[in-house]
Amino acid sequence: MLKQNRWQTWLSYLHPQYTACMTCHKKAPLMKRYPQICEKCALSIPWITQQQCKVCGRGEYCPDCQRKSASQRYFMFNRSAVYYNDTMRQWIADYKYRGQERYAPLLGKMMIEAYQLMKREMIEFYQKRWNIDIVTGVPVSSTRLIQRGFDQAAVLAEYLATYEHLSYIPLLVRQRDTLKQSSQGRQARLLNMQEVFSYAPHTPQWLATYQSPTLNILLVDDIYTTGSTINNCAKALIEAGKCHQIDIQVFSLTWARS
Amino acid sequence: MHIVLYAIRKSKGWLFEISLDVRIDLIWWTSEKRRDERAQKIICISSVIPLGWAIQCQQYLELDHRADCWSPTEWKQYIEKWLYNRIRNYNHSHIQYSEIQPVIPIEQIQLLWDDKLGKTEDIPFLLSTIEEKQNEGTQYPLSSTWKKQVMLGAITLAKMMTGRSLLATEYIMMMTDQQVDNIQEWKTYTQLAYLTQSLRLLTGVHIDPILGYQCQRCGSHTMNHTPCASCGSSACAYCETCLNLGRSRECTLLIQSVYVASSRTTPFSTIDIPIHTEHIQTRWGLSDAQTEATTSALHFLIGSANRLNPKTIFNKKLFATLFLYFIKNKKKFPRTSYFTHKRFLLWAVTGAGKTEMTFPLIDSVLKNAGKVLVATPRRDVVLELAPRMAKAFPTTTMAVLYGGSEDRWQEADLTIATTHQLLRFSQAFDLVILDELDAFPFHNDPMLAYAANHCCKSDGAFVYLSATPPTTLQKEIKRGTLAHAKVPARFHGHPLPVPKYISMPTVNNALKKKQLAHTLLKQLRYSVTRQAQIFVFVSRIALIESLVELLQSYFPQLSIAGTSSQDVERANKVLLFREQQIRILVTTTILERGVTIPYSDVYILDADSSLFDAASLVQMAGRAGRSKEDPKGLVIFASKQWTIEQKKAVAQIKLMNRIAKRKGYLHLSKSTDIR
Ligand SMILES: [Zn+2]
Ligand SMILES: [Zn+2]
Ligand SMILES: [Zn+2]
Ligand SMILES: [Zn+2]
Repeated sequence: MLKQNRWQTWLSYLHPQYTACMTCHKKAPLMKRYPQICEKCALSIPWITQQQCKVCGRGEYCPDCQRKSASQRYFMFNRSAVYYNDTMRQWIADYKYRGQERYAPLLGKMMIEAYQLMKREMIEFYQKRWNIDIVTGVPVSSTRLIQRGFDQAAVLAEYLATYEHLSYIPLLVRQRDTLKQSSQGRQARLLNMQEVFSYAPHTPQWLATYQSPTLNILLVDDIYTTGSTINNCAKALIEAGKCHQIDIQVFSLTWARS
Repeated sequence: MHIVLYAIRKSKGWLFEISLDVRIDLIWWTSEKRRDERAQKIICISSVIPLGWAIQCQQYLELDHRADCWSPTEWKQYIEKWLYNRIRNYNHSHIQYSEIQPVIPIEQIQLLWDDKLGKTEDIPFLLSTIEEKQNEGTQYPLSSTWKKQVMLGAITLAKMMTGRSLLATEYIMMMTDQQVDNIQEWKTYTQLAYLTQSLRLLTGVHIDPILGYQCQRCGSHTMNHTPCASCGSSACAYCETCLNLGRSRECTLLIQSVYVASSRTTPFSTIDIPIHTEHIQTRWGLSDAQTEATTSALHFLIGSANRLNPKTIFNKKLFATLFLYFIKNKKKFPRTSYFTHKRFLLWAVTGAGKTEMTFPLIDSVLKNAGKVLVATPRRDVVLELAPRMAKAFPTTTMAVLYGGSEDRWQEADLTIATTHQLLRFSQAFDLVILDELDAFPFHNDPMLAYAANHCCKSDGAFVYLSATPPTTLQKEIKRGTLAHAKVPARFHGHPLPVPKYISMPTVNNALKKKQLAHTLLKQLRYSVTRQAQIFVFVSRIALIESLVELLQSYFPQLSIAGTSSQDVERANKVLLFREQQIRILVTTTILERGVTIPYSDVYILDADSSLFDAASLVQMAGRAGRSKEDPKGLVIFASKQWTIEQKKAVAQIKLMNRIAKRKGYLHLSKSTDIR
């Protein structure tokens, strides 16, 4: 046994000591591009590179956006970084529910790449400059915030804003907690979401300081499921703009599209 | 979370204290019953200070008589300066002085109580508390009815918490599940229980002056510092090691019950001496080998021979702490049990019937009102043990604990748990039986070792069970610092099958050529004709599928299957194998323990693989010859090379057989070959 230990020590001089990958816990050389994960894990990220649905950014055929209720859409469109597969589900669960905050830089980096893709698409589409004035996040309720200790959407939004030299401003508040989304039917989910979000008291003044008749706001969240969260937030933002006759366009960027 | 920090002047001097509900503290410290301990002055410092910082002040910040005439500004400056230096020192981070300032708002620093003035006008509720002139019967806070309710609440919680160590979230969950009355007042109840020293209030992550940041639940030093919305600190630490059991933070409240080791009779000191060996043997139906080991374990538990006196324990602990400090290898936690607890190793060969051997030990502790824990690394072993224990101790209250089990708040005399569950206990058990401590994930996991040490009462004892003790323990045996008993013979009194070596090329090679070595094939044919169930162990999961195919081509009439840790059908396949529906089972070390199949032969292919150490070779070999009807199962080590690990495994098996023969535990027939 002792001999083996010594041998291992010798080996470790020859081989570099690898730290464990954050997501798969195996010792491997870590990527430079994506913080704290190994190459294998980095390659397993299911990026959405081609959207089938230009509205909600889904990678597959999308019947949801064809429905009638879709006409009451307050946001321009949504783009997401990745498909919400089992691996991604595991990552966000580790981050959000287990509270492993080491994921923040990784998820933030992924958001930045998704934003750059989104920006390229927009510039091609509008054939002119397209820019974002304010980055904001879908808020969590204050009880949840105290319980969890951090607000994942705000963290992602801040990462993005800092990197892209945009201004991150929290504009929204959540009145009460919604029940866990997965435990309800679609209709109930939509109802549950109503009137939960509103703009913060300071929001109209903030928007007025830009002294511009139109503003582009980027709304950031972790997961896009039905789009009702994003839609309600967008509605609240547009209402805030109305206080000073500002025309608000809300673009949404989420980390995953389920 | 936040907590209230206040300073209290007693006759002996100033102290800092923490509170979840200051009303209780005021009643407590101003009561005439406190005598010398009675407060002369109480000054509230802050109610918005992060819990971790408040506890730092309470435990390490000293005050002298100068504080008697301090103004609020002086209090503020003194505490802030100290906190700033301390946090910076350990955190090595970017904390700013301006972050410390807002947690002690100057307007919060105020006098709550002064012995000379008696009462302060600002705090009307205080008046009533001291003079106790409230109308009886009304629910006005601090009326005597209310006080009674609080007292009852505190007693209930303290009792419920006996032996436990829970984070605030788990604590609240326990109260909800157990339907505590007026649960919204838990802070009030808890504070009273704290003041009466029935509960301890700690933080999940603590800053130790020597060891630095340490998780008080799992002992780890691996921390991540992040901005925290719960307490407002910009670098609140959380423990990364025990995340799976709920996050343990610098600002999370950790509630522990207080155990006072008294000179009272411990469950061990009252065990009847002399021990009636025959009685034990007949009552529990043990073999001679089992009885001898068990009795020596019992003698050890009762005896005071190996007990160290407190001074030696202190010196050794101090030494260990300093040692750790100097080597700066903080990943290895001090193993306190090495210094304090009684420890006994039952080194029982595979198939010796070690569970039965623990019965007399458990019984004697239970009879003397002690609490027993049987812990094992794996959940399926817990589920298998539970009914056997229930049958052996039908009148004992029992809790079976694993992730998601129903019994988690059950008060029990006998607890059977997976090792991870031990993190939720503190000084709870008189006897801790650790089964298969050399198995994954217990082996080499300092978190679980820490948890095991903490769940055992300071005057409790450990009994380890293992067929293949880890090298650290074997060394201790050689050094003579660990008491132990060997059980060298199996329950049925036949020797352990000695592995036979077959030389063959690697499995990979065989798979490539689609051809098995004829030496191996010959042996396999023999096993098949003798109607044995055949275990085939390989080193890697990737080999299983193709090896099953290859074997099938040689034995088309047999049902052959493969299974691994990634197989959801595993339990089912083992069952089919036991029922002889499957004749050959190809698997990895996942089945090296716990599975007992009658009439089985064991083949270990690539036995020279570095993934098989002596311990796992012995365990795999231990699958053969388990039943009384077929005690002479075959064990084959097939490999290209004869490695040192194989040699060690064979030597260990032969040694045990020799000891068993010498002690006369074997029913020797002429054909028995033990070499
Ligand atoms: Zn990885
Ligand atoms: Zn769509
Ligand atoms: Zn921990
Ligand atoms: Zn905190």
